[in-house]
Amino acid sequence: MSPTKTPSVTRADHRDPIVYLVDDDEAIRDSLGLLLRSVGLDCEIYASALEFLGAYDPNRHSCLVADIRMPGLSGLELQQRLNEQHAEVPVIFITGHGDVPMAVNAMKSGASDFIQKPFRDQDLIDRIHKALASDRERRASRAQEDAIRERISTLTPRETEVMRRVVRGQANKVIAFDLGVSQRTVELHRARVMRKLKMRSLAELVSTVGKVLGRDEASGIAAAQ
Amino acid sequence: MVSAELRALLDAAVDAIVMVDEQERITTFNPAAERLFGYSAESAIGRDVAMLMPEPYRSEHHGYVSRYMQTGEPHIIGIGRETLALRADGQTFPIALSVGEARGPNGRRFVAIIRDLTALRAAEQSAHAVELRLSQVGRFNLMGEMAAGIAHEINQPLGAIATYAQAAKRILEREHPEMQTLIDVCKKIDEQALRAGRVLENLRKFIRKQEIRTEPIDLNKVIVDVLNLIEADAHAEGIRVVLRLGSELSAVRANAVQLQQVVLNLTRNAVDAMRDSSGKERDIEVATERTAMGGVRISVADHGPGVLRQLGDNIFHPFVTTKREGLGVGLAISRTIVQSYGGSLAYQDNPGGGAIFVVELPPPEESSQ
Repeated sequence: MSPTKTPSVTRADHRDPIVYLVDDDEAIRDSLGLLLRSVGLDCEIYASALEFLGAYDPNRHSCLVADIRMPGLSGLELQQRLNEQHAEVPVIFITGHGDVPMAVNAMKSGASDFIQKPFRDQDLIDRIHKALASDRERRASRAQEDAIRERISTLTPRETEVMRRVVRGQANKVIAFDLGVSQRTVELHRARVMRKLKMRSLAELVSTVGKVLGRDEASGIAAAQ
Repeated sequence: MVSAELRALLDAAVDAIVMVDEQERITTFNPAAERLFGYSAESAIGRDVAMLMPEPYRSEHHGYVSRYMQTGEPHIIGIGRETLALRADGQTFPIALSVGEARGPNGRRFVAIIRDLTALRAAEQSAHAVELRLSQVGRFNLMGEMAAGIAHEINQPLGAIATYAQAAKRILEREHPEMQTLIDVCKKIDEQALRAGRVLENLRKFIRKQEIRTEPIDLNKVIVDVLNLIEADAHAEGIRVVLRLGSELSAVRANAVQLQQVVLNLTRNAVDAMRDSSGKERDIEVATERTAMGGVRISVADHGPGVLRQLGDNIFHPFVTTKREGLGVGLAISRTIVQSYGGSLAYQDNPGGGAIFVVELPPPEESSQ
């Protein structure tokens, strides 16, 4: 039942998507599990937020459906734990009639959706498909970023320096002056960067590498805090 | 007959003063008594003092007097008490009564000083009415909080049932539905339905546990205690309240506040029923008496249109009402309360036109558990 954790950092995971279900009410989680399986969705079911956190596999293409009101770790606290772990799994909270303010709070702290009880089965299934689609997109863009990171790691220190300056928008002349090399040398480094990173244009380099560097910087700051 | 000084004293007294001879005939009736009882002194003097007392005090009175004459054992003399008095127009009203005795050349005289307690009782009862209302509001609030908790407890199994049913439908829509899975789902739906039922059953037990304390109470006192509330309703519609309280009633095991609610509900219905009726008889009668089985019967009779035969016992069902602005829960709640004491609440046609609602309560030994 418990998923095998793959220590690998590779995000390419071609297994079918999985729906994590967390609800403290046995009948609710059992019936939801049956419903999801009846429409061909794989799911893993947990009775508490802590149980789920212990088993959660960030490498798995997935989404999470959780009751917002649970004894122990509540839905809101679960969302906060996921944020702390930089786990970007899309979360759909199931809320009771009077829990809308709680759901709004959860959305503010990063939940992707909520659904109010009682709900139509198709409504929940649609939301799950939407959440899985957004997870797939996110994973694809992360995979692309990882590929770029890997290519960046093949650059020489001097090439890396030139790449950073180009992404920041410095002209070749300025880079040449700052690094004490000829403009021609900078042009050669730039050409090698474009080839090694498989970039077809300056615009592509600035946007994709800029995003990766930005994210690494942000998580570097987050890690330093 | 009386000295000028005594005459001045009698005339100036705020309280009614009535003097009675050994034969219980009225000998003196002061101006305050005239105002209070609605008889002139001329018409009162010489008549039996019992005319100033409603039943059951009237019958009891003769017993007290003859016993006192025989044994010399005072029942009220020098003690004083609060009781009910009867006006010339048939109205009863609460009084404080004190009695003194004088022995003179013409034999014994009894002096009764009577203070009208209507205003005092009205003040007390409006305070009591507020208390009554508050206790009801309190109960409703508690019900509201409980309802929220119960809603969650019931929604869980209902939610699971709905999801199981939706899953079953989807499984059935497949080309080869797995029968065993479907059988399991049906079992689970059944279990969840039972679970929801248990929540309600526990709720019922809880409410029963909350049951209000009952104790042996004097039914006449219950009615006298709410008389002002009844009269306030009735007088606003120009309706007279006639009390006919039985004597020697056994105590019944009940809750006074609840029973007051029942009586008030019945008298309010009676007033409502007569509001638009133009019959000559503009009174409602509230009576108590002993039943053959030793219990107690309260009846509230009006001269309204009565209850349509085809409605029958339905009038006791919740949300059945003949009033434009009624919720239709009064009789249902009243019957539930009375039945919780082992008693009954029933309807009879009033032979004189109108309705009679009859509450019967068993003697204490039968209803106590």
